[in-house]
Amino acid sequence: MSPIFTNASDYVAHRVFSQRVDVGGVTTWEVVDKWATGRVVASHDTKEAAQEMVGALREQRLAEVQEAHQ
Amino acid sequence: MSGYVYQDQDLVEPISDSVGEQWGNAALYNVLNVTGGSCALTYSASALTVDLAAGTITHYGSTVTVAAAPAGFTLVPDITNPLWTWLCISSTGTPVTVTGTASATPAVPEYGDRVPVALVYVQAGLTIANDASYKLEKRIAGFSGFNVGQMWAQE
Repeated sequence: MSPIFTNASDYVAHRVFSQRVDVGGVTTWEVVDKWATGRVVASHDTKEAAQEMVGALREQRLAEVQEAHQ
Repeated sequence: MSGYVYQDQDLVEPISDSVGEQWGNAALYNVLNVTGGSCALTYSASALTVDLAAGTITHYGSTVTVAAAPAGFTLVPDITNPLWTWLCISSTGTPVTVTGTASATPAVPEYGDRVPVALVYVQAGLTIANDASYKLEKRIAGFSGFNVGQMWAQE
């Protein structure tokens, strides 16, 4: 079950992602950044908006991870 | 209410950081009177819904009454990949379903500022809630009660 990360992209993808939240018939999409304090860093009304933010965050975190390992 | 909220080192599944954080924050976030049936879950045998029984929780140190919510949770499976889902209760006693991203090795989502009741592994194409591969229920009792229950019980 535990994933073995063979590259930095997979590692980052496991730590920055969106999640669907359903409350009383209303759906929102949260963005999680495991590097951030509190981890849930934003909430969006649409999946697309959340995924767009996830994409940008992953690029940022991937660059940081790669820089840290150089 | 004020205090420090414990945050665990990030880990990978199935023992995720979220699981560890439940131990650390057990005094602030828990279900009271678990052994009395408080906030018990009933997984549908014909649909993707999960019933929530009435009960009482502690949310960030405050006691909150939870009303029964038939079909209060609905699992949202993916067609091709599995995912993890938290069944939680909000600060107002409302059921909250937090569905993670589907993947061959899915990450456990964050339950956030809510009281987690169960972590469910939803396999691809699931159609009946009770058939979910793993239903890890939180069974820790509040410290204001006497029943320190089993924290995780796999059904």
